[in-house]
Amino acid sequence: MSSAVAGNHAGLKTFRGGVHPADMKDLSRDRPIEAAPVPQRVYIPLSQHIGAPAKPVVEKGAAVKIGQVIGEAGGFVSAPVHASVSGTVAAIEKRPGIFGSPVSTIVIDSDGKDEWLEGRNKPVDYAGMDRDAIRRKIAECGLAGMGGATFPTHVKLSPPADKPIDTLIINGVECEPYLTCDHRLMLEQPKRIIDGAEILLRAVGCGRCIIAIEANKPDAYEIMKREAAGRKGLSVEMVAVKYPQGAEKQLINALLKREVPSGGLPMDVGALAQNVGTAAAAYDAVAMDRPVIDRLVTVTGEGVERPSNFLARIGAPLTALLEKAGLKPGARKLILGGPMMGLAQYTADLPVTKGTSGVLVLMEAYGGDYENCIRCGRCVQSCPAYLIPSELSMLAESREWEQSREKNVLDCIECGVCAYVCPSKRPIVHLIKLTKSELPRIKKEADAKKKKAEAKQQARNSAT
Amino acid sequence: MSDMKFVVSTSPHIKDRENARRIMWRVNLILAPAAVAGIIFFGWTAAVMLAVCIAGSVATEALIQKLVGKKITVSDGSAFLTGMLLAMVVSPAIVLPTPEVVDKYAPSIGAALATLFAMNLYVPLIGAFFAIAFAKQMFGGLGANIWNPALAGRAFMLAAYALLGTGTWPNIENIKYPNTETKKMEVAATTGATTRNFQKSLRDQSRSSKGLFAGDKELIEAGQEIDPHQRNEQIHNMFIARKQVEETGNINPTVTSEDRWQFYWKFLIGKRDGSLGETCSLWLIIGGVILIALKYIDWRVPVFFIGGAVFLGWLLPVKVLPGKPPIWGGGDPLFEFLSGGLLIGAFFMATDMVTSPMTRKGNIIFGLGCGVLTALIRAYGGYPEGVCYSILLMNTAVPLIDRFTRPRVFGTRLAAVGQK
Repeated sequence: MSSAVAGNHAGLKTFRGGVHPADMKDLSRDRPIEAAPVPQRVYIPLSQHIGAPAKPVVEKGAAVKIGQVIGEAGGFVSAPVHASVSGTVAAIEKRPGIFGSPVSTIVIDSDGKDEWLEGRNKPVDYAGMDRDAIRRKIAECGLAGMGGATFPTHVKLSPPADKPIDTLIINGVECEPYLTCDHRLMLEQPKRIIDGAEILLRAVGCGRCIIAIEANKPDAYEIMKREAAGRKGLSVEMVAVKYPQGAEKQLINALLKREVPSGGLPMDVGALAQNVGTAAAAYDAVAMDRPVIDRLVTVTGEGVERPSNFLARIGAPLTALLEKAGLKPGARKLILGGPMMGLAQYTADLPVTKGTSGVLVLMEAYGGDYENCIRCGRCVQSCPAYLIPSELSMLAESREWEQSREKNVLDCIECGVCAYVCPSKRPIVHLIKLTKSELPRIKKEADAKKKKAEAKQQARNSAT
Repeated sequence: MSDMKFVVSTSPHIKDRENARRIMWRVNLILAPAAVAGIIFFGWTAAVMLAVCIAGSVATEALIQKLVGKKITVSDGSAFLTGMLLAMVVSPAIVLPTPEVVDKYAPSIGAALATLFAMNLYVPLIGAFFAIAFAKQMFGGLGANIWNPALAGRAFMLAAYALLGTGTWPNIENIKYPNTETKKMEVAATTGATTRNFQKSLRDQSRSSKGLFAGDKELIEAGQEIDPHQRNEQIHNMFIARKQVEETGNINPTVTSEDRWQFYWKFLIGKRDGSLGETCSLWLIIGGVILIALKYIDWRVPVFFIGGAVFLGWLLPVKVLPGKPPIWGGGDPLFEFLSGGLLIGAFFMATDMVTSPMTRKGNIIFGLGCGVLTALIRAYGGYPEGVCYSILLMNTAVPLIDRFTRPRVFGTRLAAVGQK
């Protein structure tokens, strides 16, 4: 299943562990990017990124144009949001969110004219821009990680001075089954990605960039290689097909043979990774003064008639995309993201956000009874974080949260490989997520208890 | 579409098709031909033994799960496997109806019922009950037990019904010891013995202070040189040409290489004594290789187990002459490899996922431990066969092995962590 250390698999670089689910990408791999029709109404959440939600700067009834700021960043680790259609703000209200709880959303009715804000979306001469100017522009344009993690890009591009970056990695791996939007982007718009990579290199201030592509995309590899030829510092590398090859830490391990320290970040080992979509968005922002108002979304799965790769506006209702792709009756699961790490949704009444890389519709819903752990060790062999997932699942069942922390539950990247291979069908990721959510709660309780005991001691001391 | 509701559950939303039930039944299927071989070689008693053990295991599991209110999981094939393995590591002679008992009860209850009664069916039933009830369900069912249930059941049967335990061949061949006084072969016990038993008894005798043959002690004291390697060779020939030895009383049989290969060939394909399922070595090896290819078992366990047992079985010093130092490297590696429960133990019992370590490194230690213990028990212990106890002892060590072979978590070893 894997080599003993990060090494070679069929001659290609890879990490230790992982699995090979059927990649199911032939459903949408050959479907060229299709611009979805401009929606009549968009629903733009104020929080589409990790960090503080954006703060609205428009009111109900305000007229907006495409690219206009409708929510300003709520702090440093935050991002602004922009109008993706021209029209009128219909409401600012709480609507269903992708994590299950409602989120503040700005609703805009399109006026059908689809007009950009004056002066924006035009080529810019960026040759003279320095690091700070580039990063400011990226922040202003609301970039967040397009691979799905949605971490505000300008923050990622601003590591502290004591953590210099020597390698930028552009992640074209797209290891999740079913998803193909990054693949199509590389095939159809390689120049945007390569130009974006160069801009990111300038933003970070380092000289080496590796573009990583999984071996199941040989056509993309050829095209990107051709496009990157002659560009200073850029190289394109093929990595082994294995899930989760595209996970940041595992990719850095495979390419550079470095291990991001437990509890740390890629910058701790001098590396920085960005998705190909983010690189393309960086080009749009800096070279075209174009904020994030749309993105590529793969709508696929056995539950749609015509799997497609759409270019959809941020805020576009998923229902419209699903209708265009032909949602089948009897579809049982709607997943935002891929089948291994995506978030299952109870309703289709959601918008496209900056992190929506894929909408996966499945006809089967796994679940139900599971058995005892039979200690087969498959999860141990496949875990890319080198944990013992079976043990963590059993500790969670016994509510031994602290023991789980000692056994590095916080290092779990929730990739799903353990639950995928488990012959007893144990919901290991679920139990680990439960543990992770319990840890801050019990820490808070322990801290409160400690404070109370200290206060009591103080009172006793001052009384004597 | 807005009113369509979808199923929500935590990722991942796809799962590998393999499940515990599929694995168990496939293992059952792969093991079955060895059991069938046992029936072919040993006859109808083997079939009865298999049926009783399997039925007993399955019934016990169903009964206990019903009594404690758990879901009945006998369809997952694990109780079936335990029953089959239990039957395969004991001698089918246990259920051979003793003629005296049949004759005693036939007049009152009829020949058929008397035969059934004389078959001591309660012995395998109790063994199966113990295996499932005490060695598996009491711990919490599949996945929770520490010891291999089939081996625990066999150990229990051996302890509780010592005389009926392994080592009896249905076509009762009486063991004949060389009488140290008359230098003739004599019947020593009324129960038959396997070739392993015979070899062990020869070895034990030669280790004793009197030596294997009468007059050895005196001859050596008188200064006569007897070459220990030659004596070792003679012991080898004796158990290879056992029939000849027992029939003619010739304690120095001539053994040609043709005889030798015949001997090993018989041990390979199963025309030999032993427990019900351990005789067809050929199929056990093939089945083991299939299990490894399907990735149902880790190759490290059988390879290190067999390797360790065979190597040590060859190497370990044996004393063949009284008063003389033991010789090293005098064992018969091929015999060690093919005889006894080594193959079935190494491929089908030590590799049980529940009772073996979870890590690859752990499996190497586990396999080696089993191999070493098997060789030691075989050479110096009280039993001619050490596989059963060696596995049970190593099962006990598994939690400790797992603890010491924990994988290092990603990002926690400074040396591997980048240059920064």
